[in-house]
Amino acid sequence: MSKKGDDIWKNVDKINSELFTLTYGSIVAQLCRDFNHNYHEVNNQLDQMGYNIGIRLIEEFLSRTGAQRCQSFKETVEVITKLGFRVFLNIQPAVENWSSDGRSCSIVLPEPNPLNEFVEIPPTKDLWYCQILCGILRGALQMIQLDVDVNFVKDTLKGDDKTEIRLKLNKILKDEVPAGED
Amino acid sequence: MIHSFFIFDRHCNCIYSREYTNGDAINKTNDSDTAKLLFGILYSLKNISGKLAHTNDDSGFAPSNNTLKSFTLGTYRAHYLESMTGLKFILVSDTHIDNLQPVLWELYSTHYLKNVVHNGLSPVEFLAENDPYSKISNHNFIVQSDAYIQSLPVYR
Repeated sequence: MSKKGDDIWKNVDKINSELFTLTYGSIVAQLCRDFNHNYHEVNNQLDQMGYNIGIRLIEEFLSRTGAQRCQSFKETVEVITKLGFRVFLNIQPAVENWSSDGRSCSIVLPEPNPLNEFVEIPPTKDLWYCQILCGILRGALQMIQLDVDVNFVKDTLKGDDKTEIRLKLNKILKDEVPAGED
Repeated sequence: MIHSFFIFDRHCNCIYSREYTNGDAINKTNDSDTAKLLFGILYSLKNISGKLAHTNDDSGFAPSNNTLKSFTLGTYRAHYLESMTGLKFILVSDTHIDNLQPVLWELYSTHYLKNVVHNGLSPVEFLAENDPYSKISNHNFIVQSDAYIQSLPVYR
C-alpha cells in the first residue's frame, strides 16, 4: 500500500512546501487575531474549515486511489496513514495504542510535521495548531459513512514528546432512505 | 446509443439529469418522475443484490461487495456506478452496449471531480427539490460531460 501511495504521490500536482507551511501559518495567525486570541474558538474554526475541506477531499482521494470499502476500522486507519497522508502531505504517520475493542487508536505524526515547521505558538495550552487535520479526517470519514471523533492529545509544539491524534469510531452511518420508503 | 445520464446524491435526490435525443439535440429533462422511478428501481435492486450475498461479518462495517452494475429491460440498459461517498451515476443506453463502468468512473473521477468538487463556488451538498440550488447547474460540468459522452464511439 505504501508503494501505491508513492506512485500516486509522483503524479500529483505539488506546491512548494514552505509556501504551504507559511500559508497555513498565516491563516492560523489571522484567526487568532480575528477571535482576539480566544483559542477555543480558533480551534473550532480550524476544525470547521477542515471539515469543509474533508468532505471534498474524500472525492479526490477516492478518484485518485480507486480505494474500495475497507473490511474493518483497522484497515481504514491503515489506508488513511499509508495512502491518505502519503498522497496529500507526503508523510506516513505511525498508528499506535489500539483500544481492545478496535474502535479507537492514535495516529502519530512523524517529525518534521510539514504544518509545524518554523512554528512557535503562544505560551498557552489551549491552541491546537494543526486542528485543521482533525476536521479534515472527520469530514472525509463522515462522507464514507463513518462517524468518528478526532482530536489532538499531544503536540510537540507544546513540548510533548510527540504529535498525536486520537481517533474514535462512534458508529457506522446508514445510507439514507428515499422519502416514502420505510 | 446513449439515451440519458443521471446523478443522484447521497440524500437520494436527483442532482443532474440530461437527455440525449436522436443522438443529436440535447434537452434537460424536466420530467422528474422518470428520475424518481429510475431511482426506485435501482434502490430496490441494490438492496436485493446486497441481501443475496451473505457476509460473514456482522459488525456492519463492510456492506456486501455484491454491487449492482447494470440491469436490462427489453429495449434499455441502465448502467450504474455508486461512489463510496454515496453518489450514484447512471447512464441509460440501448441494449447493444455491454459495459459502461469505465465511462461512469471517468465521469465521476474526472468531470465531477474537476468541475464540482474542485470548484469552491459549487456546492457539494445539494438542497432538496424545487430549490434553485438543487441541481448541478455548473456550465463547465455540463459542457465537458456532454462533450465526453458525445465523443464516445458507442454514443450514436
